Amino acid sequence: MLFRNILFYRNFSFADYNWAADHAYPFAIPLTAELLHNKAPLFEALYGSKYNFCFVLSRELINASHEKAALQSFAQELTALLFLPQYIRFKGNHLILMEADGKKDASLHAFKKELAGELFKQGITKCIVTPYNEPAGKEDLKDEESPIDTSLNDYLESNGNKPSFDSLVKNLIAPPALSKIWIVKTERQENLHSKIQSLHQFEKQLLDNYPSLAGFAAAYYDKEETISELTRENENLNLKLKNHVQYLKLLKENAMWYVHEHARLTQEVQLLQQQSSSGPGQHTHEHSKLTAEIRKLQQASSFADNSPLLTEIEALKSNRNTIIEWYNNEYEVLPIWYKRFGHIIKVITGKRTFKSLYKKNNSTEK
Amino acid sequence: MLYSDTNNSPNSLIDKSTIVGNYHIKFKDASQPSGDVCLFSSYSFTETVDEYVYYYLDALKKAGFSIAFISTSRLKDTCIAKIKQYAFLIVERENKCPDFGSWKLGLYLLDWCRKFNSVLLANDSVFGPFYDLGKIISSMKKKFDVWGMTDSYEVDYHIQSYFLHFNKKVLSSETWELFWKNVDITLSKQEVINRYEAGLTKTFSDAKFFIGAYAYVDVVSKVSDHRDKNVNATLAFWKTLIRQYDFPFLKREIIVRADINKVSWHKGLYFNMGGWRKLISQTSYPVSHIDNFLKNYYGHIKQTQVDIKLRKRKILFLTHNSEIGGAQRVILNFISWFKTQTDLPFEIISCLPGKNQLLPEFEALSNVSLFYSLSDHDKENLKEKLIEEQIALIFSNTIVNIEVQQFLSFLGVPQIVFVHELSYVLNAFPQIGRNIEWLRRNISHFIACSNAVKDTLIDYLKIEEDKVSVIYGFINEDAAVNKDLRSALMSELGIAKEAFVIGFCGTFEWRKSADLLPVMAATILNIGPDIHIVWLGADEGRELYQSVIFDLKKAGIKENVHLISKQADSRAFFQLIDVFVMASREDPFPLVNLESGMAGKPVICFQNAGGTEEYIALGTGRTVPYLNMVKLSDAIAEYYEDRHLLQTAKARIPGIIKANFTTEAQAPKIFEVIKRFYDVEELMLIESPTLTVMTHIYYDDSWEEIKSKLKQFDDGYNYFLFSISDACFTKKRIIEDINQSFKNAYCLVTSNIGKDIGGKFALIDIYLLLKIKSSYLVFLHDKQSPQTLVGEAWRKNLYKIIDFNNYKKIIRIFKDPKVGIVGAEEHIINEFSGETNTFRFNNDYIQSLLRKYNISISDYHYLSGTMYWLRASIVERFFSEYNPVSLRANLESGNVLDDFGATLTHTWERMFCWIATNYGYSIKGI
Repeated sequence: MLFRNILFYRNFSFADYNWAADHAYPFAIPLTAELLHNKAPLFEALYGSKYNFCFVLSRELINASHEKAALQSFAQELTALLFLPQYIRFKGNHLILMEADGKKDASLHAFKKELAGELFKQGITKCIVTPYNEPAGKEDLKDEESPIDTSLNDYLESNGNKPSFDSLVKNLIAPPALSKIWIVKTERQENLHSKIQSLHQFEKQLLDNYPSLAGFAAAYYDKEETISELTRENENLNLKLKNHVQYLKLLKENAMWYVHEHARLTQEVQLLQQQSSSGPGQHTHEHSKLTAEIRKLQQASSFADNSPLLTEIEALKSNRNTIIEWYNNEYEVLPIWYKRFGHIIKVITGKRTFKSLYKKNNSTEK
Repeated sequence: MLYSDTNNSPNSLIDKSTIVGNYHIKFKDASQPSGDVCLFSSYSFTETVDEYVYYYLDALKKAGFSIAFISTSRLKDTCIAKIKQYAFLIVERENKCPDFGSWKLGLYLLDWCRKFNSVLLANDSVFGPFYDLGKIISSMKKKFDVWGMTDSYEVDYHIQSYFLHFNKKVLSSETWELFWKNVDITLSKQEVINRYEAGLTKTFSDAKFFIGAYAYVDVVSKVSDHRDKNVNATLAFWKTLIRQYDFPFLKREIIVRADINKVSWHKGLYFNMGGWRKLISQTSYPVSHIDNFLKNYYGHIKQTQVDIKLRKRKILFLTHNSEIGGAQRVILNFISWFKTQTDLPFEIISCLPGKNQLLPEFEALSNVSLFYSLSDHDKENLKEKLIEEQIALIFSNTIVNIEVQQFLSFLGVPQIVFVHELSYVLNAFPQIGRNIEWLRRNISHFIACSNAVKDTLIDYLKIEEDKVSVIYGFINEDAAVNKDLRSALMSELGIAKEAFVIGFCGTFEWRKSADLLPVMAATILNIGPDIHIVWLGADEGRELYQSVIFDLKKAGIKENVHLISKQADSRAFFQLIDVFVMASREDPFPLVNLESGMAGKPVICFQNAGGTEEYIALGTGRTVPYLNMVKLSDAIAEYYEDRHLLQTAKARIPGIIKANFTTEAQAPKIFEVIKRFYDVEELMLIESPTLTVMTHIYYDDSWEEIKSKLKQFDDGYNYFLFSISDACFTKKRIIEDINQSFKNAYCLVTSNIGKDIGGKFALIDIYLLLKIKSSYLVFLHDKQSPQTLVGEAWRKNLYKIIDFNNYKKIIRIFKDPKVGIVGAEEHIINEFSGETNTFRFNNDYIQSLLRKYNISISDYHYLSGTMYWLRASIVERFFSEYNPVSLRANLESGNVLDDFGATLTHTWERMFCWIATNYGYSIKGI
């Protein structure tokens, strides 16, 4: 499988969802009210499946969820399904598509914001909610560039006036299309089978005719995946490091409490000792109680083997080392190629000129 | 008129004698039966009649009975059609006073059977007949007027009613009609037993009829394990009855009652119900009828009884300890194989104290009880636990576990011993010599690890040859290694590359000939200047150690003799040596021979010193006369001088090991022996609560510990729901592992909301969505609490709930229906101040949530840490009303700590317990 960004739009059927096709393409499943009504079997079918998937929200569902309460309820219904390990994350974002009926619709754009807001409450902070079949134009309705590309589907579906292979390749194997999701629509099982065959043919043709472009695409996907994975790891690392700042602060406070408590108790003991040396031993009980408390404190905060303090420090050390090790192994290596590749991407996407790249390299060498 | 009535309605009843309840005649044959009649009482769970009932009906028909079939349940038309093949009358009646009510109705419809020669009252509460009923009937009816299969002293002396035969003399008597007319079908089940089952025998005995039983409890109890005759003979003596009395029936109760083994436990009697399948398979009875009934029955009851499970019986493996050693390694290898190759449940007991280096490996396989560390009280608990588990077989790894085996003999199950001992060791353990008779009587089978052991055993215990099988010891194939481990060890020991190395191995003791090492070394080192000797297993603490060093120094050979201690991985040693000398004076079948063989090294041993000779007979080395140093030296010299011999050995011997002495080759042989005493198809119903464990995982390094603990609970019935935090770096690997390792598991990748509480809300949503049925939920997460000094101690305490050794303890606590939550007692706390009416932490949130969810309680104790068992009904009830995902949306995100202020997340940590308290439950600690 050369293209890792292909998504098969496919109606869900409990009977044949796990149909043993020889492919690893993920699915975009139209989510209807009826399907959501059968959430338990849907959850089990998707959990047991080998295919990654995302949902395409049907118009019927969207229309029924405009009211705030309905939207909240719908978002809650959706949450467990989004937590399935197979749910597609596109560049780290949960991908939720919407049925646009091939026309522009302002309400659709309002809905997507509201839905993203509800999902945010569930901690799904990175989420792309987007119409999948909205026609281009009317820029005022667009708040970002659509991550969907349907030109491959159009090519595979067109019969009479098929666009030329060369022009398709020129369009697809280049930014921005290369970094988008290519939806391929299938109606039935047989259709899926034939579409997969057509795709294989397309890939073969590309490999035969444009081997370097095919190689470029493969490398591009590799790097995209790595970037996406490392970006997420970096976010998590940052989160964990921030957490550890809080832990250390609390530990410091905790340790200070031990110190103060120890000093206070010692002072009290001394006071009692002075009193008891000058009078009868009426404070013996309190004295021994305080001494026992001090001993307990000392034990808790001592560095003797197996003391809670030492164990805790070891655990913290190990935790810290794990993070540092991870950083060294996985993240420290990033800048070497990340920078280079990142610059190439910038050049490809037109955000930087090839010339500027060349100049900078030269100047560095100098 | 043969049939008194064809329909009945309560309004038409005239007097008590005709009170037979509502019924409907489904079929009646036009012919007028006569002679012997059987009134067969039946009840069906599923409106169908099981195959075993048809088999019984067929046997009764063949024994000459005309059958009236009376059912207290509705029957499908297909069943009616099939019963017609056996019965002349089929009646459905209301489910009231089964058996006696059905028999009364049958008698009433057949005019009290006055015209018949005899009446047999039977029911479907037994499987069988396993033997020809005709023979029993013709013999018994000559002797008695009223007779049954078994008698009983329970309640009052009586003939048990599942099979009662009455002759013409009885049928013609007034007593007969009077007894049945007086049967009151409105009585409760126990009243029916007291009044009619026990009363019938007394009534007919008082009327001077001859009463008898085919198998008298007085007689049967005398030849059984226990002599208590005040028990139900069909339950207590079922095995003796079938095995020794050709008894034709097995009570269905034995198969369907999960607690049947404990019915007389209050008297100290445990009835082992295992082995019925194997026993019945020896008769002509199709045992599949029982299998099918059991599966159908389970399918029916599991809808309503989530705590009942259908599973295979458990095997108990005993290891004498968990030290590095041959017998321990063999049982470990076998159990590992057993676990991967079968679906049979098992547990392990480590009998004696030891260094326990292998304990983690044993624990990774199953729950391990350390018998030697148990107090008397703990041992009683262990007994009860094993009774509940219904152990079916004990497999001991050596004969020295005899005291534990004797302790376990109350189970009354077959015991197999894998013997690794020769006469020196047998004599060294006085407990073996003292119990030869016990061993002879109670050990079902011995496995000897070599022929030498077999011969010793037969001679020592005076047992029949067929009671001993020989299965040679074995090693795992991974003992082979391609990596060069030799060079490192050589340089560590200071041995030159081109040196010729002779290996010895064993504990530094007399039996292993460690005392002879200086003499052997002095002789062997004469062979050549480049010879080195390495002894593996030389422990400095041993008494012989200093004496040997003394001799080696005096002989001036210390530089060429290297003593190294026991190694967990000895593969480097076997790579290092050229020839291995098995110098033991007595050794049953040392695994080190096999390890050296796997490395391609030949073995030289003394003759008549145990099982090594049998190994060498396969062409793996040389034997020399016992303690003959010259011959030993000659044998080594042969290899020293002809290195081609070593090359040949290296090419040949590993193949011999792989073909004959690996776990893959030998473990199936042990399993075959086990199967002679354990039926792998036999199923049983067992009462064991179903759990759903809800685990939240956040940290990257916590999974292995949690997995090893949770795996102990993975019996195929329990559910495991995981929420893996999206922030967990190792989530992909963990999810793969979960899906591969757990039978009923679901994982979610959850966002970082509300820490573990957010995860638990997401899992409760899934639990309710999938309608999982459990008795208890277990809340768990990978707590580390890096912000405190005592996080480690907290976790250890909280994890008590997933220590499998506490499982039965927790279940016992829950026997009190008022207990709703069980967790670590150190974590039950109360932050509420009655004086100020406030909570120490999170007060505002708490007050608000208590109001919102109408929680009105006075006891605000809660279990901090949110790790505990709780009744599933609590969660089901509350969260069916309040959507857990909706609640989740309000929790805080990120690193939620309540050290910097109140949080809803920490409020919910407390709320779970208070919801339970509000429902009237209490919290208990362990």
